[in-house]
Amino acid sequence: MLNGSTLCKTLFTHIPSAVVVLDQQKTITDCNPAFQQLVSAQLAEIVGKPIDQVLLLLQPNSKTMSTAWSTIPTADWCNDQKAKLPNGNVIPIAYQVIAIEEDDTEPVMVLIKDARREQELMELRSEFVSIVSHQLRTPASAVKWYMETLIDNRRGNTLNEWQVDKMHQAYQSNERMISLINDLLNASRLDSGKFQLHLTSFNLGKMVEEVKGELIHFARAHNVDINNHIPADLPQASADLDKVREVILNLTTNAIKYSPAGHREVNVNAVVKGKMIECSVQDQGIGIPEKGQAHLFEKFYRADNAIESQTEGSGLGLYIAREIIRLHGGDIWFTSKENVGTTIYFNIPIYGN
Amino acid sequence: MAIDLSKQSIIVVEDESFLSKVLAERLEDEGFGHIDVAGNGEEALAMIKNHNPNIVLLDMILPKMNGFEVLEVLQADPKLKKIPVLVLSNLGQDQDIEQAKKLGARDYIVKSNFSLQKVVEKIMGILEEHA
Repeated sequence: MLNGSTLCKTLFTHIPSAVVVLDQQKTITDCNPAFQQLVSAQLAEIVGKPIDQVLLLLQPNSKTMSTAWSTIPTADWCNDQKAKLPNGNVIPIAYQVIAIEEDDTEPVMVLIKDARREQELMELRSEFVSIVSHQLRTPASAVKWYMETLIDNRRGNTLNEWQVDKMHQAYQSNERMISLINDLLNASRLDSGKFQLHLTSFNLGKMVEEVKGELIHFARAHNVDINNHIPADLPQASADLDKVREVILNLTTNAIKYSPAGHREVNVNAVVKGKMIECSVQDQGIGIPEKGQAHLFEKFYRADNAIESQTEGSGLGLYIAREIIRLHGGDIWFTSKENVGTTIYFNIPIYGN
Repeated sequence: MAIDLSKQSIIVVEDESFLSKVLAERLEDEGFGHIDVAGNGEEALAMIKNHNPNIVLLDMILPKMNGFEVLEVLQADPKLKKIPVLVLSNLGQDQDIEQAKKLGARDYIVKSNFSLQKVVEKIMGILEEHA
């Protein structure tokens, strides 16, 4: 059995995370080589200094406003944080504050992960997806436009019914590919924090009416009625119009495509709750099996019965919807019963609040 | 207001010939009086200056001079800046759309997300607004 103290010392010296020990006055009492490397200073230069003089903790997404380090232990890692190094460089970090149960001075240990490499990789991945998507979109546009020209039969070379049917199938497959490219691009932008919101005020009921118009043929093909119950006097929403439209389009499309055979309804409603508008999309679809419910908003997750029903989908739509709603300071959740239906709720801020 | 398309001239700026071909064919079917196709930014600018078209469909990633640069030149010329430009690009990031609109583009279409029918509707909308 190894000596505990030797083991700790070895770990402290070689662990790749920066570790700094603070007393209750937030003065540095010790730190490991990884911390010294992070702040480019020797142990002797750092010990005895307040941590805020050595490594300034910044508010997330800010380069100027500082928040002081706290000696209150954190339950978990605090991700997506920023810190200012003594040389002025601002770097992405994650940190965790852990209490050291030792003596009356109640020291704490702060573990700091330098997230620069992670961020670089994320940005690289986002750029790669962006370039690939752009390259894929060009041939996909060509297929779309040529197919449309053939289906429209503008120049009088009549196709027979069989050919038209096959042409439609090919067109739909291409549409699916385009939507997958768009989903991948959106998911990658959300991951890298490059997704920007452009807030405006708008009428949610009117937006649902437009989405309804857009989906009318799709709904008819599935024998589904879309009912817009949003009251006319609902206050204006304050959100990114295009992004929220994308969310409603996604939720309504899901509600239609997961409706089983027979005449069904999709009901869209909205109510005011506090400072938020709570919107719901209710279907009479196949529902989400209980064991899959906790995973519904995970990237690429698809419920077993969704796969069994051979309904097409990338498993990215709800992940994107959740991230968009969260960026607005709202949330998204659902109630569902298998073979009865699902209601998805989300909330966004009311204009003026 | 109904537009007499036979009196309208349009310039399609697109370096992918298989895209410009199908687009020009469709515009011809719609009855546009004059359709020109430019394969790069420089050619596009020369064509716009010479033909003074009613509308320009502009791709963004182009050889020699990209779409943003073309927009900048148009914007700087009091006469040319009046010609409405509809961007048709497969670059669809928010910042691309914002930048193009800042440089005077009337609207921005991500090609793969729009059917030819919708592209035609956008063109008609802009022409009607501009008439």
